[in-house]
Amino acid sequence: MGLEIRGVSKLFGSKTAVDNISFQINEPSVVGFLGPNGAGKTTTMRMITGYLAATEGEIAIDGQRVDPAHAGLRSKIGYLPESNPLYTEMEVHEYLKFTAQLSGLDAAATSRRLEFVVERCGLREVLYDPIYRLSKGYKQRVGLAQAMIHDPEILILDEPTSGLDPNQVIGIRDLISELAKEKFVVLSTHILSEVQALCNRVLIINRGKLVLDATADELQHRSTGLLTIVVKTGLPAEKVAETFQKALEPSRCSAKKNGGTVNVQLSLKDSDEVRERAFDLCVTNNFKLLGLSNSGTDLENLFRELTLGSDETGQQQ
Amino acid sequence: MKQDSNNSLKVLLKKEMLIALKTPSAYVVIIVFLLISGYLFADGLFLSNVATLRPFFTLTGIMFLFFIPALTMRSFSEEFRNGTLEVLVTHPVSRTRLIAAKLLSSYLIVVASLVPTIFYVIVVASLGNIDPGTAFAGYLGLLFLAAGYVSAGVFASSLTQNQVVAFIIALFILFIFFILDKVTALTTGSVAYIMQYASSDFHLASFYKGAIDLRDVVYFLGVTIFFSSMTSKWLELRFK
Repeated sequence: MGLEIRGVSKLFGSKTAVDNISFQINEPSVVGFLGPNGAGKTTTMRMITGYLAATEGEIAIDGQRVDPAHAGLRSKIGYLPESNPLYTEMEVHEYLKFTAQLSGLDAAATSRRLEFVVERCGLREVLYDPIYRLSKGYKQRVGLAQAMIHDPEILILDEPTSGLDPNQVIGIRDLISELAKEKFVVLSTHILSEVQALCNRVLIINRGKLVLDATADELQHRSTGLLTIVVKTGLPAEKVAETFQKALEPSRCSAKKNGGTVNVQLSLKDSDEVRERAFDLCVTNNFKLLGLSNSGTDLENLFRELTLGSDETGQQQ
Repeated sequence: MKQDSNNSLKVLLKKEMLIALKTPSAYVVIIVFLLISGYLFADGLFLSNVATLRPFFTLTGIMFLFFIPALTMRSFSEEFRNGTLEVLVTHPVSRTRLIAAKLLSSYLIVVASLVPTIFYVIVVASLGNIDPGTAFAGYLGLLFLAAGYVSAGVFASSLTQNQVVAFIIALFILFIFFILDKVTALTTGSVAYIMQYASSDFHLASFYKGAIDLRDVVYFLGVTIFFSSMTSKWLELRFK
């Protein structure tokens, strides 16, 4: 049962977009797909949905092979593409009914599911509006409603919270978390905090290769902690950063002056243990300590390590 | 809960018609078609002073060269440009049904735009005697011609995401079909015969004379199937 990707590669001409990726999802959960732009996330998602054919390897849903030439398995998948394409001339209810019927729902099931997604995605007040008149946030919600209207087993969501305001983001994250109790959700995002907030498992892909496949717990062990220190001092930010760098040896250190205070961020393997030493350091150097907080996993640092390590000229996220 | 997947053609056709009715372009194209055909019909009728529908059928055949590419140019191009094809093909829909819905929707609009031209038949009939059989065969010829042209237009639209480019490609293809029997003098023998046989106007002529020949029917159905298969093959290659 579930989703299985076995040695999947995709070539566009001579360019390798996805290079021998394998993973399995055997139980309902949220799997976060991370990677720099052009890493192969969208191509992989498109292959899972059957939109693109894999050049090599095999994708199977519930043990059945996904084949772009055969439409059968597609009703098991709900897909929100990256650009969230919509028929903007249609009204919201027309579009959602269309996609429900296209997935094979009969009239009764269509109206039942329409009611469900309208409620869950907060579309009631725009139900009879033409889609071109909607804000980006509402359009995103229509796209998400489209993906889940036929009650699929697997949801493939390419940047589902893109364009939403913070309240909407929380609403959609809650919805995804609830859906993941009984569905397989694969989502891609650029927002690292979203991965930490939502995902049970993280897959990081770089230059078409899978460079990390870890559960949320494994990720916590593997990645460094992020310690934020706010001090009041007359010294320039660089000098303060140098002091912390020398004494605590973090894997990453950044400092920013903000009026009379300096905000220092340190990536440390064990940020809990270092807190006392950081306090002593402030006392020794006559920094007035205004704040000291441990913000948990520094996924950003791990992401940089994994995706920039072999690429000296690589682009940062 | 789930219904027969055969229903997907109906669902797709409904969506195509809904969008066509909600966008002004189809109305503009139909109105322009009716205005020009009406003007040419009236002009020809009063100039020739003969109660015949032949000039109307001939002119409509020529107008289809522009009218049908203008109707079909957005069918796949717009789906490519907006990315909506990604939504369609990730639903349980076969490529054949997808293409059939595109063909049928454009074809229905062509048929709908021909309905008001029955008024011309009434005008001509009131001015003199017309043979109902010839009128019927003439319309049947236009309907077969439209099927072939729509299929070529949809194929052109599947080649590009730019509607203007799709229009020009379709116009080019249709013009080749139209011109073939007019340039046979440039060549001789079997080539000339093949060119004549491949020409759309050559096969229309017998319909306009009131004759329904199976060979002409087979020709237009062949053109329709040929371009539909090309569209299907092209879309298959696109998603590889």
